[in-house]
Amino acid sequence: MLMREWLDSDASLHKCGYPFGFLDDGAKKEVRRCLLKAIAIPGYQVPYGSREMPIARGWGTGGIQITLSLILPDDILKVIDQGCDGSVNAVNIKKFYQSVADVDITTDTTAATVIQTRHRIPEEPMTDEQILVLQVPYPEALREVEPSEMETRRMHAEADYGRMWLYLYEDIVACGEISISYRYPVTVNGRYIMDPSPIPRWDVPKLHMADTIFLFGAGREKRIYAIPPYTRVEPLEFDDHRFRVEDFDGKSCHRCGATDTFFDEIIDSADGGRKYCCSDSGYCDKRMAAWNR
Amino acid sequence: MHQEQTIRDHATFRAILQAMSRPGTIQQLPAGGDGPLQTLLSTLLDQEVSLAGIDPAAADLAAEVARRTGSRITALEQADFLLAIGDSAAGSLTVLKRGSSDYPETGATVIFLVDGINPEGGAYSLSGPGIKDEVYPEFSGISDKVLPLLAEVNRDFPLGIDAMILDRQGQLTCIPRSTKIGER
Repeated sequence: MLMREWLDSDASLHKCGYPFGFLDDGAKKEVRRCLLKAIAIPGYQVPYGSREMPIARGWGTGGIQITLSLILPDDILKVIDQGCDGSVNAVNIKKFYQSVADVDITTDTTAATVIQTRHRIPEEPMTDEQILVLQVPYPEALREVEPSEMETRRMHAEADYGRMWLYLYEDIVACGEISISYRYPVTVNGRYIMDPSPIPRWDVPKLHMADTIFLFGAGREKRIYAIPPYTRVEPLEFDDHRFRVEDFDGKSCHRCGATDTFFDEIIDSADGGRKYCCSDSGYCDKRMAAWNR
Repeated sequence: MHQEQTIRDHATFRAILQAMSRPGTIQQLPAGGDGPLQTLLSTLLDQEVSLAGIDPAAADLAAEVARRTGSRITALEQADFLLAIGDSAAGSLTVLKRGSSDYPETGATVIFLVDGINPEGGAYSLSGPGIKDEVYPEFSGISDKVLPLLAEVNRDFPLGIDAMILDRQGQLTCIPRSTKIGER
């Protein structure tokens, strides 16, 4: 909907009985102030007063609060859940945005102005016009090695990351290589170790020196953090044990035939056979449509 | 709050977000409302935060903004947001909150009100997160001492203060503490 239409339509003035963007002004302002500080200190987790949302914490409320504090009626929104535009979580979040902000919805990465995502970054490169909002379940990268919040805060303050490196070393001793498959820890701007949310390793290099703004919201854990564009994002690695992405050599998508995307593995319950398909359903559909034209 | 105001706040915040994410670039705030400063601050300030004017001219303006937004007026050393007009502000930058190493986000945000912003021609280079190579914005109506002092105050990253530079036409440029300010 165009902004003018929204303003002119009486019906929208009290859409569903809520203000535009659902949240009250105080909540939006706090989220905005935290977002600006998060941008100014890349990779640092800013605490904020996460509000109650009409869905349960742990279902994307952190990302939703960020999106609601910046959405415009003329935005074109894409919501993905683990790469898929059509999952229950993504569909419900989209319906919610349509009812409180009247935005248009798309599944096409290149058409979207704001993309909210759970656990994937789209395959198609994003531009400097777009904003990616990531839902985060566990914002603290150091939680694996330290259960105390006060202690992890001190470790970040002092850049005391020795135990994280030791954890990776022990992983190599046990498994022969670093076996972290998602939530792969990264160093942002050479300073903070950050949890990039549960994206696969495949997506981690997309954060490095990107054109796009990445905003991270953890509603249950009450943290906001960010990566501005053109920022160094380096996965933790050793000189003799380099970071690598998933290896899909010799595999292709059974729907669109792609060989260069991140795959979901599907096991046939009847014969136990394995096949693969693109995790990014929007991209896969787009390739299918191009074939069928 | 009126719906039109709410949506203008959203559009304003998008401009601020881009400005803070891409230091040195110029973003245009939406027109209308009660002028660029009120437009900028009505998206961010409420009773949760404190405000101060760095120089005497800005103190009156701060009082007016506080009255409209509900924010509290405090001493320079405690203020979350500060307003600065003209030349006299530079010296006070050293006394502002820079945050603690546990909570660096408690560092202050300073809004400099200037006459104009040019994308090119500045005496200092900006680089760092959000900037592809280097940028050299030029600000008119601001003391020459401000940028070198900002560099000085922000040398102990992640502690520091974040600057917003707003001109009379509603053009906004930000210099967050992560930005490296160098001589050209």
